[in-house]
Amino acid sequence: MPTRRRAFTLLAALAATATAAGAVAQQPDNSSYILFVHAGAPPDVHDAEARLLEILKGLVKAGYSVRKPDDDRDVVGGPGVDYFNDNDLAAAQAVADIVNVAMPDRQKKIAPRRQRANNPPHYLGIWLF
Amino acid sequence: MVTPVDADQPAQARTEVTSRWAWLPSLRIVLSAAGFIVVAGAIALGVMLLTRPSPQPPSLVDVEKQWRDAVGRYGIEPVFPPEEDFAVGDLFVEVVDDTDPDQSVPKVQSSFRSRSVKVDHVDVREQLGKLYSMVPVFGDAAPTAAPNAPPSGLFEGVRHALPIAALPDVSASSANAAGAGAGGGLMGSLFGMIGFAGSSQAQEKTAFRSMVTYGLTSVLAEKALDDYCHDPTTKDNCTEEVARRHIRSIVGSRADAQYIDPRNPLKSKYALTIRFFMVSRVYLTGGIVTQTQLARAVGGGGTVSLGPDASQPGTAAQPASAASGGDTAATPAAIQQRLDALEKQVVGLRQGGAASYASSYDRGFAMDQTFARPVAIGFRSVGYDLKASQQ
Repeated sequence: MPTRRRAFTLLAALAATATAAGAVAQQPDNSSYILFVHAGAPPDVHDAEARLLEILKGLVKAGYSVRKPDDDRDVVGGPGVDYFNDNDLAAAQAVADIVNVAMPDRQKKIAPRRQRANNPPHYLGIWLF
Repeated sequence: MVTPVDADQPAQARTEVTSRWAWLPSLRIVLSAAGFIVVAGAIALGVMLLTRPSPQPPSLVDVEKQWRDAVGRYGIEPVFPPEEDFAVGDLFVEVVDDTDPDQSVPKVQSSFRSRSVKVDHVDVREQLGKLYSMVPVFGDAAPTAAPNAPPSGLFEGVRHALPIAALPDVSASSANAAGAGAGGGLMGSLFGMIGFAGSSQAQEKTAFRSMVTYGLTSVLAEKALDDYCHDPTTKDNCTEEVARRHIRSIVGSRADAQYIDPRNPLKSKYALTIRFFMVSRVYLTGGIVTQTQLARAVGGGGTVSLGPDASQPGTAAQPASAASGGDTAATPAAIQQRLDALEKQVVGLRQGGAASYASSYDRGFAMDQTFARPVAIGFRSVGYDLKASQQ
């Protein structure tokens, strides 16, 4: 009996390893997505830099190509993840999720929004504040 | 049950056995026909495989790359296309690496002209004059100052022509060969041999006429560039910001594109790496001769023989198996010779089937250009660290 139990344990470990390896192998290649981060913050946000750093860490960890952030701010539309091609909705949602995780105390969660500007596929604009 | 034919058997029994094998000649004809069809089909397949368009035919060789390779063999940086307006003291900004992950934009081209911009020119005529006044000159290039003047010393001749640069002709060639063969063994008794062979060869030869060169020593060139980059009126040209502004004319807004460093999100790096340099030596030529030779041979052959003269099947189709050998075997001429030999053997066959296919071409192009004045074909340079100017 102990031998059989050991065999089951070994099989379970092998299955777990294979599952983990499969998960790693299935991680999408996000490097083709070019993210334009607009990090202009209103004066009352005092920890804007720290928040930005957390967001950047999350985005580069997920494999996105992140352009150096600028200080622009969308004073009309507010925060959001702009996408310009219908096929990029899923990526825009994934980026929004990363931003929301990095800013858990934000009352209104950031969300994707379709823009009509004529930008190439895989371009995403992130308006943080 | 068939019993062996014996000399002791009665004549009637022998006649019976003979009549039992009377269909054998027709079988031989059928086998010959079948063999011929198989060989012809195999040849057709081989020819199709060997004659299909290759991804990069030799006739479509990148001219700029050929030039870069040819001039690069001399250990100098190529100027393509060659031009007269290229001198020692020219200042350039050049894109040396393009790591932009943005797939929607075209990558920077490899030719020097499409990835560099001439920014300015440093007047180094004085330094050049001083330098070459110290260098001894001999022969016809050093006439005396006046016809009636006393002869000068051995090392005091005055230079009236640029120093000669002797560059050997450069040849670049590429050859592809493929071959296949079958025969011998058990099948050899039925199928003599099937073989295919193909070879293509491209050769380009570049020769420069009346090569001359001039330039500064590395010490003098670095000093001239350093002086320029510390002169209050020109030092701004040696900054990263200004240098990138200049390359906008060839790469647009990508000149300033920066990406977050995945290893350190606090840092960013440019998508395009640039360098700022001054030309310190130029190689000029009075003429360029370029010869291109393209050759290709494709062929296949096969024999099927049931006659007694086909007892040595291995001799029927030598070309294929040998063609996959070394460079000598791969030349179109060599393959053509083997194809000719195969055809001769095919003609000599009395019984059975045979087929062969051969195709070849040999084309050559030559371009001979002579220029009224020397044009630059290559250079050497000294660089300046743009980041140093920001510190």
